[in-house]
Parts: sequence; C-alpha cells; structure tokens
Amino acid sequence: MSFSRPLFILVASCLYASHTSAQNASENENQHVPYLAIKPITCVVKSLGEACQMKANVTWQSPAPKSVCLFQDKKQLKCWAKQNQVSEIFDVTLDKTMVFSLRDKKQNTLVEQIIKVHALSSRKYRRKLKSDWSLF
Amino acid sequence: MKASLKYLLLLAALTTSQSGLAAASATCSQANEECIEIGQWQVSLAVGGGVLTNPLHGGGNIPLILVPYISYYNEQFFLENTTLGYTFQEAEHFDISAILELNGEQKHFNRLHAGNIIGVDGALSEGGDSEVPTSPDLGGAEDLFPDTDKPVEPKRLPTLDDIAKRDWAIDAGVLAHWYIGKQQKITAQWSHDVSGVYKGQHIKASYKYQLPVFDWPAKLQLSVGFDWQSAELIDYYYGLNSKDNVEQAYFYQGKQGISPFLGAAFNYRINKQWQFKFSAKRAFLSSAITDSPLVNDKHQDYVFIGGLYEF
Repeated sequence: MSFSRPLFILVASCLYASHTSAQNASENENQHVPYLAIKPITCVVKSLGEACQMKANVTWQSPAPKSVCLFQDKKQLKCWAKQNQVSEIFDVTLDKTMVFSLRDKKQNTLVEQIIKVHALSSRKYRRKLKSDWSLF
Repeated sequence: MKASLKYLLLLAALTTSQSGLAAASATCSQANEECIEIGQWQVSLAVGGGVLTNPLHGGGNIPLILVPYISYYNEQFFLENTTLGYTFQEAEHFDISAILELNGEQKHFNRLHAGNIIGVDGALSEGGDSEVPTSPDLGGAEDLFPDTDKPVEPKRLPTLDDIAKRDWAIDAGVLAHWYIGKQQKITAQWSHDVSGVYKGQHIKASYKYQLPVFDWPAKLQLSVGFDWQSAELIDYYYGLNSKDNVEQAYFYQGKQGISPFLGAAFNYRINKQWQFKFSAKRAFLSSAITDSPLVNDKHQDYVFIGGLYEF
C-alpha cells in the first residue's frame, strides 16, 4: 500500500487530463454547431385536422461558413452554400407538429427545432363511420 | 369464442393506449357525405322508390318509400341509425370503434314487415310453393317410403307462416376502417350476439372505391365484400327443427357460410338540402343459407332511387 498515493495521483491526473481534453473537444464541436431560431414557434388553427399556414422567420448563424440545407421533416426547403449568417422568411404549411432542421451535405442533422400546431378548439367535424342502415 | 372477443378488445385497448384520439388528424373540414359536424343531430329523409327483397318462402319484399336517417356524433361516441359506437382511435388512415347494433337478419322474418314502418307494404305474400322435398337433412321414414296405394302428395315447402318466431338480436363488436388515399376504404366489422338470441357471430368486410363523376357535384361509390356468418347464426334464423311447424323431412341444421356482395351508390347534390340518391346491392347468399328449405332465392337485392332531404 506504500505506492497507493502516487498511483492515485497518477490515475487522477490522467482522468483530469482526459476530461479536460474531452471538454475542449466538446466545446470546439459546439462552436461549430450553427445556431437556429425559427419564429413563431407555434402555429394556431381553429380546429385539429386543419392545415396550418404561416410565415416562418428562419435565422441561423455559424462561426464558420457552412453549406447547409433547411428541412421541414423530410422535405427540403432551401440550401445555402458557404454561408455563416442567414435570415429569411418562408411560407410553410403544417398539417401537424413538425421538426425543422439544418443538415450538412451528408444529411447529418446539425441542429433542429420543433414547431407545434395548436388548435383553438377541439375539432368541429369527424368522419361518418356508418354510411347507411346496417339493416340494408 | 370468448378468447377471440378478449383478443379483439385487447387489440382495441392497445391501439388506444399507443396514440389515442388525440392523434386525430382526420381530414374533415366541413360537413359532407363523409363528414359530420360534431355535437349536432343530423336528420334526413330519403323519399323515392326501392325494395329490399326477401329470399324466404312466404316472406314479402320490403318496399322502401320513406327511409329516415338519424345520426349524432361527439368526440368519441356516435349514433348512426341502429348503431351505437365508441371510437377508440381515429387517425388519418385508420379508425377503430366498439359498436352495439341491431342485427338485421330478423328483418326477413318479421311478419309485420319493416315496410310498415319505413315504407308502404303492398300485396307481398307469395304463399307457399308446392314441391317434393329432395334432400332432407334428417330422415323422415314416411317420406322416404311413401304408401304406394296413394299418389304422392306434393308437400308444401315451409313458409314464414309455419315457423317459430325468430327474434331480433343485439350485436356488440368492433368496427375498423382503413383509408387508402381519398378514394379507397376497407371496412372490417366483427360482431357477436350479446342478447342471447342466436348465440353466434359474424364478420363483414368490404372494399369501397369512390370516384368523381365528370365535374358534377356527384360521387359514385362501388363496393365489394363478404359477410361471414357463424353456424349458430344461420342455424337460428334459417335452420328448421322440432320448434317449427314443418314436416320432419324439411328439418335443416344451419352451417357457417360466406355471402359475398356487390354494391353501387350514386349521390348527386342538387342544393344544400337535397341530393339525388341511387343505391343498389346484391348479396349472393351462402349455400348454408340457400340450402335451407325455407329459402326461395339465391340472392338478396336492395335498390333505391329517390331524393334525400337533410333537415
């Protein structure tokens, strides 16, 4: 047990070094993640089931120029080449709560934001489930 | 049987717990032939001419002159004529409901005839035909070896007037729809007698294809499907035994059977209140039904043409 203290210090030093290294790497990665803001963050319809149309103000920033594409769920809305700051208005239609994302050339999602659809009231109409007399 | 009921109820419960009614992205934004306003009673009356044929000996066809329709839907419960339902899940492409409804099989056996209620009953009774039984299911020795000194008397086929009363039954079950695009729909319904009348079950499945007609405010719907009925159901309604006042030679025990059907419905909206309506359906009765000495026809037809007024 006489060597336990030096061993502990060695192990602790290694752990600290590796932690610091990982933290730096993570911070470096975070620095390269673009910032995305889409407003408004909710779209309001009269009743559930209705399609929601809105003008979405999309802003994104990146410390370094990036080539990215904006997606509404799986649908590609627009791509930019080597930009580091963009602010544009899009006419979008949402039939449900949807995810907007910025993706790189390899389709990797860099950042995403959820836009929710809210109904002012419960739905007004529903499907008829029986079209005729069951006797016929 | 009980196991299958439990399985279906479990299936309904599971589908409910997964997404529930909140997933309703149902595509209804106005009231029309497919959609109805929630919380509003809808009453309409079809006025015209039509008939529902009766395949039984001595059973009158049911004329259709005035046909009332009544429906009410809230978020989950619904009433549609003789069907009560509770919708567990309703989504864009699928819905599933538990239902309780009047079984329609008794309509052929009702001596008062539904025509007295929903139409005007005419001179309908055809009386019984005379025919020698050819394939009795249960042997009657006196029929198989008739007295040769006497000419063979043709035996009168059993008619509706000869048999014991068949009761109305109440079914409980599950109704599901799958919507394929806006034009196609698959419907499946499993029902089980909960009134202890026929003590059986039946399954109805259909495929419906709806197409626009030119650029008119009209729709044509074509349908094809089948109705499977258990042996208990067919035996209760179409079987003949000692409870019925018929010759033993005519005794018949019902078996399970499948009756396919074809249908077409045409709707033309004239204005907000009125629409022109034509509908027709032919059911090809299963051999389990047509083998009964009580049954006179291999088909059951429904046809109606007229106007539908929505109040």
